[in-house]
Parts: sequence; structure tokens; C-alpha cells
Amino acid sequence: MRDRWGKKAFQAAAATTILILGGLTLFLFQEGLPTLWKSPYEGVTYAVHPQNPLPHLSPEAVQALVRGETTWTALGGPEAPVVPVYLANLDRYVSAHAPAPLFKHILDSLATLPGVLFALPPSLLPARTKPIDVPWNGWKALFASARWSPTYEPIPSVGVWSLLIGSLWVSAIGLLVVVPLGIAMAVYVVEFLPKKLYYAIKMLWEVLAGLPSVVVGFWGLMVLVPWIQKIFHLEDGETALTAGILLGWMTLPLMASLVEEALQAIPPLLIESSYGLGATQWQTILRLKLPYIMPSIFTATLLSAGRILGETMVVLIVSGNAPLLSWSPLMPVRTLPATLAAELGEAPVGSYHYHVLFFLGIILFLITVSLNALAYVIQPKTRSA
Amino acid sequence: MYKVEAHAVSVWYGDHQALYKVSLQLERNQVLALIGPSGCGKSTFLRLLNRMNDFIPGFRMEGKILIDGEDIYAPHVDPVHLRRRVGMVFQKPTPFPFSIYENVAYGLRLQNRLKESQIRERVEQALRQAALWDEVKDNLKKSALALSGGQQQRLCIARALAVRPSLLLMDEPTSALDPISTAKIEELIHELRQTYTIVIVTHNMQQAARISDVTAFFHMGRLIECSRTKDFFTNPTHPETLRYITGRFG
Repeated sequence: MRDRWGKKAFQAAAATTILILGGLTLFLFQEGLPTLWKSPYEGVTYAVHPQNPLPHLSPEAVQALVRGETTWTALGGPEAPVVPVYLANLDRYVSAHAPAPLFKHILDSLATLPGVLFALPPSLLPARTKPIDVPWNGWKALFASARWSPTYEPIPSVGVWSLLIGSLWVSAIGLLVVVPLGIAMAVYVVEFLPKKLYYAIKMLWEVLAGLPSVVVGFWGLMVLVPWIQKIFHLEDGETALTAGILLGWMTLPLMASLVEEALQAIPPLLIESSYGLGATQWQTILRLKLPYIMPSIFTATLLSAGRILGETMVVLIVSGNAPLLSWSPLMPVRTLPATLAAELGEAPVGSYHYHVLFFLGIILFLITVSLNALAYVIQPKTRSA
Repeated sequence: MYKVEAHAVSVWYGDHQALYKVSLQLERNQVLALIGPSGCGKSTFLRLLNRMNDFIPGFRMEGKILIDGEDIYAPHVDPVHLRRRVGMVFQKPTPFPFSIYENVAYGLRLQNRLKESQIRERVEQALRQAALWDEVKDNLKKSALALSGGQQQRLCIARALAVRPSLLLMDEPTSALDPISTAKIEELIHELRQTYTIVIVTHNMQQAARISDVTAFFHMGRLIECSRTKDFFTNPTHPETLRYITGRFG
């Protein structure tokens, strides 16, 4: 009877878990995938002066024109200065509170300028203009560019590479910190720590692991950032290196306890065999124990990587948050989760920005899921000896 | 000079006394079998001989153990060096998760004195001595874990022999093996007696009778009787021994 209840309870718990996880995943994909076919300027029509000979413009060309990085002439258009007119800069020409006839009159006179470029809802567009096609390619926008400025008007830049590389820097540095330190700590605890201190140290780990990440981040901001600034003579100590070191520290309890577990699980007879052949303690550690637990170390590294990749608060605080392509760990970076945390609150629901952020969520989800799956697949089979 | 001498050896693990004033002598190139019921102290005695008990918390001993006339518990003795002279094989095969070759070479590499060509030679020699060479000579790079249980145990013997000990300790080496593998190991012990002195713990009295020159019977931490195997099984002097070998307890 009890067994049946136990089974039922387990089934209910499993079903709930699957339902919640499935629902969340479904939501993530439902909100993120439209990025691939939606365009950031739906409801907006691009138009130019009727004499402008260009048949279409690329989104990059529009951005360059608006930024003043190129001219109509360079693109093969009229010899006239660029006059961009879009919702966000309308107030440069006419106040939003102007009476409707004045509003219309000003737009109409803007339309007579040969270099004009309108990006307006069709209802606002003056009559004597020529619509121009600005084809949008979601894949290209996401993956062929490294510029991240998702609210730029009239066309945002949503290249994910700077964020991906930011995440990569932080994770790589975090792993460089956590893997050797985690192994060293586990070896120390198993081999050299007196049994009486063992439980005290274990408790300390738990406390360290349970520290709210915002506290860790604040400590990093107050202590680590100034150090890094001083040591490397930087203008600003908020860099990928700072975030990586801090994340490595935060992941240390996880890494160390996984390696420790693996060390404790080595069959005692195997260890005695090594000593029996005249090995010293260090020889046994380096030649038998570490090679023996290599698969576990690999698994622990993957799990730590997943943890580091997903960590948000700390990187938000100490990484400098600049979505730039960084070729040095001493530059500020922005990671995927930090971007989500920083921007999702400001993105209007259903806007292109909102969908792009969910798309970043999908990327993050796929990376961490595959890391965990890989860790599961290669997890060491129980060996007997 | 005796190969192994124990003089009034007592052992404690914390408050528990595991051996009471055990004394015995073993001559060179002989096989000593240690028998007795579980928990009688035979394994404890065996592990004294390569100081494997040093790892157990609360271990303490009194008395003297001499190997080749040298007190192995004297303060200047490094147990690491002692264990290179005293090889050990365990109750289960304990191959390392490396190749067959690397398993046998493990003890040789620890000393960092041999060239790779010399190691090769010693590996082959050890595998021949352990009667395993013909079965594995074409697969030395194969994982040792892929061998059968009996082959693994012979590999462990080869591994112990490779460092050229003069004394070989075996802690129930056949307890995890099938009868055929057991027979092979026993045959091997017979061969090895030419070169080595062997101390073997066994649960199996027939095995002790088959392979040993001298048999020692332990009970409740005391050495009850130690005599030539022939006499031990045919004409035991102690009534306790008689009761044990006739199967009345244990």
C-alpha cells in the first residue's frame, strides 16, 4: 500500500517537474524564435525622395547613413546631405504638440529635400515620397555582426558575438581559476586535513556556496576591482578578468566537492596497492589518484562551466558591462545572462528587443543544456577493483 | 639468519588489542601460510611486514619484527623503501586503470632510475615470472581492466615482482577467483618459492596444506601453533588447532 502511494507521489512529482520545465522551455522558445522572422521595424515604412534612384537599402546602409558614416553619393544616390526622419528624432523638426496642419506641413516640406530618408508609420508618411525596400535578415543581423545596440533607432544592432565572446572570456578565466584550485583543495582536504577539521571545512564550503551572489559581487566591486586596477594599471578594474576570478571563486565549492567525492570513491585496495609498490603519498596522488579520477574531473569541469556561464549578478556588477568585442581579458565585457538581466526589464513585451533577449536566452539554454548533457554522457561508469 | 623474525609482537587499534605477543621465524625461500578464523589477526600480522598498518588511525605496536635481520620498525627505516623490498598482493585483483604494460611498470617508474629499455625488460621478465607473458605479450597496450579476474591477479603479482622484492606478501590472493584461476595461482606460488620467500594468508586449509612449507594458526589475536605444514595437519600439538582443522569451529 505504502509502496503504491510512494510510486504515485513520485509520478506526480515527476509529472509536475516535467510540466513546469516543459512549460518554461516552451515559453522561452515561443518568445525567442520569432526573432528569426520578425523585423525590428514592423509597422514602419521606409521612404525617400522620388528622384532618389536607389531601389533598396540594406539595414547596415540605413544605420551608416543615420550615423553619418556614409553618404548618399557613396551608395550611388543623390548628391545631397542625409536628412533622416524617424519617430525617435521627429522632435528635432517639429514638436509633438504642434497642431496637426503644421505637423503635416513640416513633414511635407522635409519630403522635398533630395537627401531625405523617412522611417515612419504609413499614416505619417508624406504623399510625395517613394517607398524603399529595406530587407531584414534575422540570421544575418544576429550572427554576422558583433555590434550590440538593440534599442538604436531607427534600426537596432543585435549581433550576439560580443556577448558570446564576453561569456567565453569570463567562463575561460573562471575555469582557469576553479579547476586547479578545486583539485588542489579537494586533494588537500582528502589527503592532508586532520579528520577533526574536515567537518569544519565542509561547513565552510557550504556557507561559501550559499552566499548570495550579490554579496560576492559587492565584495568584488569593493576589493577585487581596485586590486585589478592597480596591478594592471588600468583606468577601470571592471574587466573580464575580474568577473572570471570572482566566478571561479564562487564555483570553487561545487568543483572541490565533486573532485573530493571522486577521490573518496577510489577503492582503498587500489590505493594500498600503490603504497605497497613503494609509492610515496605524492606519487600515489599524482600517478594513481588523479589519473584515476580524470573522467570525474572532466565532468566536474563541465558542470562548473555551466554554473559559471549562467551566473548573472556577479558579472553584472564587476564585468564593466560593455558589449564590446574584447580581444583581451583586461577589457570590460558583457555576458549573455548579464545582458538579459540588465535589459529585459526595459524591453516592451512583444517588441523586437524583447524577442531578441529571449533569443539570447535560447542560446544560453542550449549551451548549458549541452554542457550538462555532455557531463552526464561521459560521467564515469562505476569501476570495481 | 632468518628471513623474517617476529619477537613478542603485540598490536593495538585504539583500545582494541589485535595481536598478543606473537613470535615466529621464517627461513629464506619458504612459504608461510597464515590461517585462522576471521578476525583472528592473521591479516594484521601480514600487514605488519610491509608496515601497511601504519595508515590505520590508532595503530600501535610493541615487540620487534626483523626482515633480513633489520628491525623494520626502527625509527630510521623509511616504510617507502621497505615496501620496495616487500611486495604485496591483495584479496581482490587491484589493477590500475592503465594499460597492462603501465601497470607492471608502475613500481619501476616510481624510482626514476631506469631507462625505458630497462623497464621494458623488467616488465617482460615480471610477466614471464607471473606466467602471464604468453597471454598478454601481443596486447601490452590494452587496458588491464579488460583482463579476466585470474589474469588480473597474476598481473598484480607481476606488478609486485617487477620491483624485485625479496619477500612477497599475499592476502587471500585467490579468494575472489574461480577454481581454475586459483589452481594457476597456486602453481605460480610453487614456482616463485625458488626465488622468493612468501607469506600468504588463506581462508582455505587445503590451500595452506598444498602450497606452504610452514603453517601458522592464529586465534583471537594469539599465535596458537606454528610448525612444518606436514606436521601441522597430520599431528597438531595444540587441541585448538585440531578442533580448527577438523572443522569444529571457524
